[in-house]
Amino acid sequence: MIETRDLRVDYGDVTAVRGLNLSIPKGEIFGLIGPNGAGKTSTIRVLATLQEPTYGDVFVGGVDAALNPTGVHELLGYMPDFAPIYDNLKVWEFLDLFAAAYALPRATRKQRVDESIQLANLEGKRDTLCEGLSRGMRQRLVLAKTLLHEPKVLLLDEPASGLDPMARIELRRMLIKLVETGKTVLVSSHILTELADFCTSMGIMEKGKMVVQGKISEIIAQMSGHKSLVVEVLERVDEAHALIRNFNGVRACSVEKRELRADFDGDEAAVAELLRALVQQGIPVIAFHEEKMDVEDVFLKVGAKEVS
Amino acid sequence: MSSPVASWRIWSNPLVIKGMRQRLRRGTLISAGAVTLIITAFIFFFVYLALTQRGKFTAENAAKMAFLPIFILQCFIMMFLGTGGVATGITEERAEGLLDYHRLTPMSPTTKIVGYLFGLASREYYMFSLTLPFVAFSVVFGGINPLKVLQLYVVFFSSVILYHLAGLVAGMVAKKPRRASWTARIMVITLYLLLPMLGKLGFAFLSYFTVAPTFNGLIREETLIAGLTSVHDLNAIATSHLVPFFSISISPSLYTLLMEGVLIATFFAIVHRKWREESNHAISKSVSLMLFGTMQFLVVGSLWAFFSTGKGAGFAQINLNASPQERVARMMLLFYVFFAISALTSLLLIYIVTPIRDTFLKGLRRARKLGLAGIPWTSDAAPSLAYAGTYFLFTMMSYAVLASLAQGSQVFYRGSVDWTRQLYPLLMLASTMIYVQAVREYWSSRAFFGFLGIVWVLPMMLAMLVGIAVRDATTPLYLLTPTPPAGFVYAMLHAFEPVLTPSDAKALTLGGHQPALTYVSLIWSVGFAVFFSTRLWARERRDITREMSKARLASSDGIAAVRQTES
Repeated sequence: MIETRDLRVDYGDVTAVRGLNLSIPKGEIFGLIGPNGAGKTSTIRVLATLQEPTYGDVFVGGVDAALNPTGVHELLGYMPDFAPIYDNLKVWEFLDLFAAAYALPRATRKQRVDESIQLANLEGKRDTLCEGLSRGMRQRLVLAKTLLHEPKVLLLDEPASGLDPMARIELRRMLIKLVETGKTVLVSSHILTELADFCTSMGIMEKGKMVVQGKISEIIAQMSGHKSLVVEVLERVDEAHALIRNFNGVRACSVEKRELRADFDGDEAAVAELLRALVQQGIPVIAFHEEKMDVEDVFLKVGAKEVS
Repeated sequence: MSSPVASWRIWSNPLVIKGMRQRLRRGTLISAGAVTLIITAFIFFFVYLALTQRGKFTAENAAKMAFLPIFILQCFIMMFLGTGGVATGITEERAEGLLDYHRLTPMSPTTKIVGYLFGLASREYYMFSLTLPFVAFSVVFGGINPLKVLQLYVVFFSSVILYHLAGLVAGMVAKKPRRASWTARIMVITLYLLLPMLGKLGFAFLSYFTVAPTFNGLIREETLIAGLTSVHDLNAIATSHLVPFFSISISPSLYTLLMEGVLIATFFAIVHRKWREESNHAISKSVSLMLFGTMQFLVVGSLWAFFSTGKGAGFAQINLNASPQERVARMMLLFYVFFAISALTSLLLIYIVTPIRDTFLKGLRRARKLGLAGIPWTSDAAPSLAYAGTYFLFTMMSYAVLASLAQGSQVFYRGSVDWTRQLYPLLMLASTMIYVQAVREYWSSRAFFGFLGIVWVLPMMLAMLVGIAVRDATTPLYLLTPTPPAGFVYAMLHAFEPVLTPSDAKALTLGGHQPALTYVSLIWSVGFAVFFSTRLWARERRDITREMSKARLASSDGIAAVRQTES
């Protein structure tokens, strides 16, 4: 649904995006993660046709952005970083402006505006001037505006930036609702935990380059390489340590009080074999599990390598 | 989705409705309305009552005389407040990023421009509408010809659109929001005051970007009252009836509509271009050629009558009893102003259409990627030297036409001018355009203006100081040689020296230094042109070689990668 080929964006001598090849299938929620200045906003602005790339191809829904930007506009909903609103318009007027601008039929416009107000959870603020809205409400209002014309693709640039924890939770709820509607979403953030919950795939950008991208599970598998097993025993810690350390496939094993952590190369059958060996030795195992690597670990791992 | 609103359906344009919602809420409606009504009523009744009660005028004459102050108030509302509103509104929306939302909606750029044009000035249109009953009273009871009033308001609205578009241009072009309101003000002052001043020098078309000539030509006569007519009134009427253009004369309202139409089209093209892509140059290279060509056509048309018969408008006419010295001096002055206007316009266009290095490099990379031999000529990223050359060719052709007319008419001098000498001002212009183009492309804006300050302004200041401190008149003249305005004076004097009478020659050859001053000025400007063009050329060669070698490298990498895959 979203595709870039060898995309490059220069600002003078600075290259913001360097040879970006991105492919996001339909229905995917793609999290674009990276520190400030990584090139996320430039990428999103180019995808939204708001900025011409130095070179490279951009396709949204199969439409070439360079040849038919208007065709891309019909498919897109774009929410910028620190999304602005008209302070001196009322909430319904703000939505009505864009409903009219997107040429929604007059007969259904009011209904659509009301639905959007409901989606943004702003029913009580319908006739309030936008200047009276909190930061979280503003973000939700802009997101509702972005959805007015029912775009197939959403580009959300740091939607949660500057929000307090409560507002973040509300926004996240709204985003999760969106995910359920089957839209293709590209959402950027420099805060990983914002995206980890609901993204199906992600890409990590660093200094204009995409360091890693793909399905979250695939990336984790790719980045992990080996399993990390956590074993907790009631007693006989030294015996358990010796057994695990000498077990086939274990690279290293550390001990902290009654907890043992092992780097293990074996497959799932080997994991089961290790547990059986511990039990057969009569070691009182009270916990045995594989520690899963999460998105944050991947980010740290990649980031540690790439960030200068 | 239904189809987006058409640009002509102003009443259902979402941006107009937005503007009305923003700027015409009940509170504003009442306060702005009350203020407008109070001020208009005060002005109207002050004039009307003062004339009928104190001045013993008839009610008809008083009503007639109240027209002008109300019209001035309307001009203030629409042109001053309206332009400010448009410039400020668009600047704020651009700075906050709200324009980006509208860039993505399916409405056409024309619909969006129309929407902003009328939406951002909706309050001023409302205020204007409240003054209309007073105008109607004045016209009906004052017996002013309604057809002429209608004609006046057609031109008035053309001016309003022009000024509001100037506000939009300022808001879309200025890099920093704070600069936009200043840019708009400067544009309005230029259109309203500076250009009409130049117009008085004989460049008639420059006076017709305002409603004033139409007012003078149509309404002032109507509002005159026997016994109260001043010489100023009569002059204004006399000079506004018909405009000399080539060998014909055009009515002031039609001429104003034509002139404003040219500028409206230009401003519209700028805003339209900026809507499509923020980083685009304000004017495309091809539009700049059309614009410069049109400007030259208008200049030649305005000066045609003067150079062919000695008769024209404003300063561009010669009294039948004028001395030979006065005739030559006036001709030279008009040639000088012609060069100044042509040079300023071409330098402004060069500044706009010349790519800075980043843009050039971006263009090279894009060309490399697309496998092109180089940057396309009409692209913003292409060097503008060829365009500077074309502006020069246009100017040279205009100058040739005007100089031939002057020679053929025998009004200004007898005999003929040595044509090789005519090349000096042209060479001066060409070299100045070339080095300005090269400097602009070579450096950033700051360095560009710094260079112009050092080479153009500093010598003037030095010359003034030396002129005061030392009683030698020659040294300041030589100090001025790097600045093109002085260089043009020297070149013009040198060009027309053979037709000067011996007594004029003594005064105008600058103590016999004028040939040397001309040559030194030319050495400066030609020297700058050669120096900067060479440096620019060398840098561009380096850039092109580097980018193309990257391209070769990339393609050989690609081949290597393919071979590796195959093996």
